[in-house]
Amino acid sequence: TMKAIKLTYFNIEGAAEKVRLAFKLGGIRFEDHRVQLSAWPELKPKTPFGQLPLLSLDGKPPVAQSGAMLRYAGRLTNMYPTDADKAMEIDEVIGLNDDFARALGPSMMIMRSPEILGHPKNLSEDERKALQAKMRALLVSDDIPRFLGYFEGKLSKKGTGFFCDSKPTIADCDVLVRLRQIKNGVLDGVPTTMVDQYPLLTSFYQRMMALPAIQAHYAK
Amino acid sequence: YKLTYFNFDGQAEKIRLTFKLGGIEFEDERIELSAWPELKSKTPYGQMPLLSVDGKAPVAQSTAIVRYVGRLTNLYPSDPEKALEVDEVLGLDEDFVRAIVPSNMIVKTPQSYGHPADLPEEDRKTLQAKLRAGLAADEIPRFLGFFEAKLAQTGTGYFCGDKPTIADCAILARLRTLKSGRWEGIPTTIADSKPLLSAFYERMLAIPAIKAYYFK
Repeated sequence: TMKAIKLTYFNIEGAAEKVRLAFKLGGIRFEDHRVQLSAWPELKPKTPFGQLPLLSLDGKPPVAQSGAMLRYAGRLTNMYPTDADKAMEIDEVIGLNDDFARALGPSMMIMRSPEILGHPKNLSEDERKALQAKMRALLVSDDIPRFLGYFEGKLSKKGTGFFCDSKPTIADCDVLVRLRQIKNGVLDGVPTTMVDQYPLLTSFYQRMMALPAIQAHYAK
Repeated sequence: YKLTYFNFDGQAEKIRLTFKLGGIEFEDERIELSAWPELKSKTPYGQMPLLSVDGKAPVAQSTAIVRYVGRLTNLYPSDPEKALEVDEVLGLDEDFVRAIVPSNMIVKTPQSYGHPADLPEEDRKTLQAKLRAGLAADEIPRFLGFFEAKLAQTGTGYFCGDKPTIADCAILARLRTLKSGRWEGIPTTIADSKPLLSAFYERMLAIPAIKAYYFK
């Protein structure tokens, strides 16, 4: 029997988008519940770990962790195979993307909680922005090209136009969201054109965005 | 199977534990820190751990490798909902590492955290101590609370279901690092106030395969 699936997140792409895409590509119906930022302070203490996204199956207590949800969606939609070698290939790409997120994280954290990174708590908005700009400049020269290069290399090695198979897997959903994050200018100081110099990543982006289910998702 | 990592727990220990618990022989290759700079450029992504299967090209990413070994050893369920539970705990463990990493890396690359690249060693250590103090007061107790609550939820003594999975291997490894004093500024007793986690720790260490691994 079909499960009633409810995915709760903010009204942004962020950590939930890869899960939304996996469900959509796999034709799985789910409630795409989006929470307004203003509603979050009241909702936060009611969540298991003070974070979103959350996934609820048949009204059961919600589960956290977008990576867990992505793999769940992949198991339902044949985009995360049971074969151990094939799954490891997918998990390696997802892991690299998680490392990419971890590299970008501090440059976001500096705006919200600079004290977590050893700066004074009462830094002004301007001072935070200046620090962020410095950190982003470093990312633009080092980490972002490094990770984009890894992804380009993986596509080159695979030769199918997708990361781990001749068709999309959850790894493709995961990397697509990262590329969109860069191209949409979500990261101040990171040129939206950074992906353009990678031919395989560029054609991958176009290939994924042209898939009917994904086109429909972004057309709304 | 050949697992390559540094000679400490780090991100590899959950994998070593999964091999041992699952009874699969593997070569536990440990690299000296001094040997790393030369080896690093020969790795696919400049990092370890790496798993090589039957001498094939090595695979990186501890979260990929632990799932792979988990599949081989039946310590990672294939049922989607059971796996979801395991993946949630693995994800929390990765969030835990993500919280700790800046305090490790700030002494090596302070510029990654908005500090001057030429910050003197002494100032780096001061920053590290500040970060570690914050972790000991806030983040680490918060995560330990999550793990304690998860054990209370299952009521089985394990994180997912009634027997160990790769989730238990991950949390055991993380507790070992906390108790080891490896992270200066984090008291080795920080997890002691959590009764279920403490019982879990003893329970896991008493499993014959794990006992033999650590206490032979």
